[in-house]
Amino acid sequence: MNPARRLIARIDVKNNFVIKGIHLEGLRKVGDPNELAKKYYENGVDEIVFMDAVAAYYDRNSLSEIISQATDNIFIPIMVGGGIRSVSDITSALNSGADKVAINTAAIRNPTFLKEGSEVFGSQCIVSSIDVKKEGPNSWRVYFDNGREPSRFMLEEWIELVQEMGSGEIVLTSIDREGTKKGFDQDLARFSSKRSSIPLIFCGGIGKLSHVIEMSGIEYDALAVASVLHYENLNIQEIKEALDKK
Amino acid sequence: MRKHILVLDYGIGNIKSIMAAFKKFENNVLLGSANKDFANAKALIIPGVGAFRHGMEKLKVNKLDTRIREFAQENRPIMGICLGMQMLFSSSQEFGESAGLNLIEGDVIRLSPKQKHKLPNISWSEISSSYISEPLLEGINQSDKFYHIHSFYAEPKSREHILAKTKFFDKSYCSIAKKGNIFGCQFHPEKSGEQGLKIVKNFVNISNTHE
Repeated sequence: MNPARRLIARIDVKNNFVIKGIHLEGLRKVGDPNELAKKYYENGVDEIVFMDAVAAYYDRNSLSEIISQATDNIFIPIMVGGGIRSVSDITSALNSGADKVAINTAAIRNPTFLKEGSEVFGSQCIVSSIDVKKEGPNSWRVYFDNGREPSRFMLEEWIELVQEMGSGEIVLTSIDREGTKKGFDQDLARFSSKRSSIPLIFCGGIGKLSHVIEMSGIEYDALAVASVLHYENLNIQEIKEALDKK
Repeated sequence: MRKHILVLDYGIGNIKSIMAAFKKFENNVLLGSANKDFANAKALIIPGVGAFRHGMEKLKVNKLDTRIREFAQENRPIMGICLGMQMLFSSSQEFGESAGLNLIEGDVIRLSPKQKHKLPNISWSEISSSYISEPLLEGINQSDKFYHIHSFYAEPKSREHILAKTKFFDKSYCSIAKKGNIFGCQFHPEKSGEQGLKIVKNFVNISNTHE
């Protein structure tokens, strides 16, 4: 029996507010992170990811307090990303109550950081957050600093490398689709699905149920959504039902 | 007099979530590892995520392995969660053979269904049990799902120590082990929503009954 695909609520945080942009830019305030997280938990979401939207850009990390408060009332896995740069950053995220950390910029700068993290904390704790922009047919470049900077890596070599470095999961975001509500890039979904031997989370772009259903033939493990939940366009149970369709 | 539930502090594991979950049902939850913490504990929780060998080394540093064995001999309730469950067993094949606490006979082996699969198994999965009147599973329904995240699992040598099983592709494996008052839980009850909290609550009740 294949395990059911997970539904993850993604909450981007800036200065203690939930924000949401388009293509990871043009951020708008949409609410309080802990209130939203609690609501999504009560409505049956499988996991929550808090992303510090500007941490990688300004080299800082400010989510600890939010996570710490969340773990007192929310009894599902919590992932934290944004500005995780060192083993001590991981330790502090875990001590605040996070179960996993999503690492992007720091891994692009130094891929062995993933290895270091997975050796100390275990692979299950180290998630590679990969942001990509399309450059041509079946060709995507990996970006860092919250989608601002192109890296030297193309998607397929980067997927291979992060697996080799001991990542336990991948969260893949299409910068082209992020916040657009046009659906996840299907070509990207198929392309990455074939290349990932660890659980794969698709993130960004979901605007309606048909976007979820159109991906039912593709092998992936979890879907992360933000806008559709924040703006109450869709509810958690209907998305989970759509994820279950084979 | 034995008062608290002791959450073992040995530098490994998602301590904060476990503390928060147990505190919902028990006022006196203590994080610690000192002799006196063991002496006054009515029950012991062994948390843990990560690699087996690393976990065992951490336990041995302060002779916590000996304390845990003594605790078990006195028949006080113990619950190991995830890696904490695996370490209750005799040995593990993760990164070469290494010895465990040997409180439940059996080995920790890699999860390997015949069908094409990914590891780690990160999923919300149902558990099945033939023990309907088991206090730990009170209030749990067959359709309830629990959060699993692991690549290895513990296989008890004796089938009577398997309290519940989880199915991952075509592979059915032990996800709750029980031997007397020693319980091991492969999934994370503290991360499995309201249904997970029922298991936490049931274990607290077991600790109080035993007291």
